[in-house]
Amino acid sequence: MSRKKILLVDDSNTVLMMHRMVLHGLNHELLFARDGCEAVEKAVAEKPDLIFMDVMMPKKTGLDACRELRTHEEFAKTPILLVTTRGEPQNVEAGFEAGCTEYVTKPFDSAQILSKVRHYLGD
Amino acid sequence: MSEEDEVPAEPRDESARLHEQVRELSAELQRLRTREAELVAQVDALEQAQRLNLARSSFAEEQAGRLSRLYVASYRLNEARDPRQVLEAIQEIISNIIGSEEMGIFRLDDASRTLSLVLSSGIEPGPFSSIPLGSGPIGKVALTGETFVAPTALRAGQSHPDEVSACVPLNMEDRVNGAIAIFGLLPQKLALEEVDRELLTLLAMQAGPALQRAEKYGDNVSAKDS
Repeated sequence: MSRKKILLVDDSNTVLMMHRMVLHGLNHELLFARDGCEAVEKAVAEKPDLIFMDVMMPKKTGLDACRELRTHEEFAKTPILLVTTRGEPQNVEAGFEAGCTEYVTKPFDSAQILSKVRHYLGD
Repeated sequence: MSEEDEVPAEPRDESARLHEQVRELSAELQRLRTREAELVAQVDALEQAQRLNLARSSFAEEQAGRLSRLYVASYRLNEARDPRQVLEAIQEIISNIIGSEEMGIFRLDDASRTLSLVLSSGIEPGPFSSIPLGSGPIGKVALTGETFVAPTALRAGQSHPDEVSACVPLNMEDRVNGAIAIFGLLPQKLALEEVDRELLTLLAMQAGPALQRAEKYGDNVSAKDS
């Protein structure tokens, strides 16, 4: 069985390192992007099975990148989880309007990230 | 043998045969009940082992998560070669791992015995620009070198020099040279937990030396360039 691909998008090296450390043992292929533009390019090229995407990023926000990915038919059902410090209802609503599957709030919680990966990709 | 040759069994023989059959069935039933009890016990043992494994696995993941936080924070602090990168790393650790977007980093001026704000985010810098050594929680941390964690964390938007969620000393060469203050926590972060205290301890131990190393590295590069 081929390894599943997870695209991790964040402009913070700290967050990307945390993702790498926590997901390292799960035998999935980890892909990284540092802004919304790079995220869309990498997603189109690599067709990830799951995307964790920060909202506040340079060049293109996570909301815009999510919206753009949803216009591609191949990403209609790909789970896109927006990750942000902004957990207020209006921000959550904006995330769902952009087409995200779920909204995950920071600070980084390794148990929560592992649980989401298992939920969407299986064990 | 044809049907005509079959001799009907005597009632007494038939009764004995049935008794024997009942005895055998009872024994079989007993054997099955015993086997059932054994299987139920095995299932219980397996379920218990599975629960134990799940608990162990969950504990192991929790510990791995805890260590990852410390490792990443330490790595980020110590990889920086520029003082600004160290300050940014501190800011990222507080924002993404601890859970506060309101923080300030202060440096101590020995001559004036005051703390000056050198980097902040999420707060109005004015009231924090200069804090006398020993004044309020930030000044006290810089004076005593002891980390302070408030019993109740502040919510975002409540920042004030006299109120912090936590404050850690910035140690350099065995003396306190400043402080890192964390004000309001993110709305979804309700309190500073044990894992956060571990990170605060790490910041207290490593942020100052990392900053000092970066400053020395910067000085060396400047000296070489000139």
